Amino acid sequence: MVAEILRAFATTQPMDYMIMVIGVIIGSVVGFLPGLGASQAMALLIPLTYTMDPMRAILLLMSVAGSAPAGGSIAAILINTPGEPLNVATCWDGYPLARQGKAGMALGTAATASFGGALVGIIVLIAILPLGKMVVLSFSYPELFTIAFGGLVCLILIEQERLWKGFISLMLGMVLVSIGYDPVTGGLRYTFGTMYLWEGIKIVPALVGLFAVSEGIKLVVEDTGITAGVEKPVSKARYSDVLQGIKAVFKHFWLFLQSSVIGVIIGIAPAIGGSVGNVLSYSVATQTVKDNPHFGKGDIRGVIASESANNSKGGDLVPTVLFGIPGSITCAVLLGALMMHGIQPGPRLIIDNPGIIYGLIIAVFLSSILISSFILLAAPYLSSIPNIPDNILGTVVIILGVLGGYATELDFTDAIVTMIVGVLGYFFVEFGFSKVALVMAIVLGRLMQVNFFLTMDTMGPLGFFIRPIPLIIIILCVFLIIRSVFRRRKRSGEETSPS
Amino acid sequence: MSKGLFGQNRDKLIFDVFLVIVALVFLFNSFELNFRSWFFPGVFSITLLMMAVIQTLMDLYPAQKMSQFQDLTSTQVKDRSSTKSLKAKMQGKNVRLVLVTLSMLAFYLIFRFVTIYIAIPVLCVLLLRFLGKKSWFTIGLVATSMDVFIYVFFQLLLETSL
Repeated sequence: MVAEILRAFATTQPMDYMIMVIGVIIGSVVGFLPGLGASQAMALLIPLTYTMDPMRAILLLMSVAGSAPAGGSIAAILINTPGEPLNVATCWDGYPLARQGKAGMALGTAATASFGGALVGIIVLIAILPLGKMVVLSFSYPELFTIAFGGLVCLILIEQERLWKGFISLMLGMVLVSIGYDPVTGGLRYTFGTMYLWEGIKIVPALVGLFAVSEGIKLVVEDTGITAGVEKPVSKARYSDVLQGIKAVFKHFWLFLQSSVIGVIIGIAPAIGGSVGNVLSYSVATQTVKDNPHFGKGDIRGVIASESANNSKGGDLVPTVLFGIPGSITCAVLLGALMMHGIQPGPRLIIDNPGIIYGLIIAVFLSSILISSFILLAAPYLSSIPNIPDNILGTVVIILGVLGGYATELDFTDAIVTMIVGVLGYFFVEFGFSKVALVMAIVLGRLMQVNFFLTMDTMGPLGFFIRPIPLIIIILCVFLIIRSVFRRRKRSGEETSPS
Repeated sequence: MSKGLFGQNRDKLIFDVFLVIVALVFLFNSFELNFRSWFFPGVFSITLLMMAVIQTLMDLYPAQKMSQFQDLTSTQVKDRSSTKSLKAKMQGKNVRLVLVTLSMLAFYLIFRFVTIYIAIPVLCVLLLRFLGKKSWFTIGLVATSMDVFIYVFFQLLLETSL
């Protein structure tokens, strides 16, 4: 298969490269803008590809999809605004690093980890395609429930310093995620008579409000003049800073590999992907790395964990091309485009139309190279963004945030929800609650609730223990909880000892 | 709340009470659901309610201590400047927050009923001139660049109706 991909590479025309460059430009811009994502841009581009050759259409659409996560990391690091839900965990450490004057380093790490993650995804895709059916079918309800549960356990354990408030935030998120129709019974819950709440809390206005608008409000309200915590304006980053960021990925190579694999696994699990991969990878990283007190305060390993997981497109593509089951929203749009061009995804795709699969792989690979190279080259200039005076930056972030909330579905209610969530997010941080825990609950809560009942209905309580993947995750969770308890006891013992 | 319960502690308590109300609303509304629909939100809202009540009590206790301490300082310690400046800072912050929220509301209303291209300059004037004391030139530059950026990317490229 590798030889065939290389042959397909060799036959790529200059026009194909041109199309991919256009795709990367569009992908990076929509990735950067809060609220807008690859799926919206792809959906808008589909009609334009109608008259195109199917292969070129795939190259264009996959270039958009491949470059948007890296484009989103720029906004996440520089203005604490997740360009896409895929980048939400990048904000947690990337933005504090930028505020400490290490934006160049964070951008270097994000670009490298994002490209590396895409590469791992492609390798896994190539390796897994022959036995893809078995792998995809190994994910059922108990696996999805335990994956979500494991992510929440890891998160709670990292919030050791403010365990109590982290738990309150988690509970609030779990309650809020129950709004809307109940996917198990089909009934409506907590809609308070408004149709807007039928779909539940919409993820984009919630994330944009919680991170972008609340940060914008904070910048304008606290207006410290210039980059907070740094006396002088942060000087423009140098290429040596960017190089440091690249080196950091190799220094923490196992973390990078672990996070990429998590991203791929989440991608393979049908219909979850999206924002789950990066938050889950981040929370697992908090438990697997040594010395984690700086997580969430500007630890470069947090950026590695998030960015290597969010661009593992190869995983998303496995169920999409093998079964026609989208691995993420982007893949759902891609699926529509394939069908529009008369290509039927499924087990026979690799036999009847292997060129399409090679095209997907080439597009993901080249678009990742292009966007990562752009970030690495532009990082010293981009890193000046946090030097913009706080109130100007805050105003721009508020405008883009509210507009991003609106532009997702062109719904003015989304814009007002974005603003309300922004104000609440400001208080949330002000009083020491955890936005991370709230977001984790919103992202993973529904997945957990649905799959709990589906497991109970189809397999009974034993369903969680008789299958290998859930059993391993449960054992790991128990181990992590016990380890955390012992660590806390040891720490409190050290603090109370007379020496 | 006791006299002198000021600034951050009072705001914290208000937020805690808000969380308690949220938990109560969700709990009371969960009673009309059948067991399967109730299970997760019901359990989580009960947990949230208990935790939010405990949090309120925890915040109320140091808050009362703080107000007692304030009384102590007001009678026994002559130098009250630090307490006063902290209080003034908190009040200033709250005033700014209210102004930012009102500016955002104005931005939304103009965006909703007029156009985004007028809403942006208005928000820039409110936040950058009245709160940020920036020059008209800077405000003009920011507002124009944002308008052009949004017109090019949202309206021309992405064909978003604004």
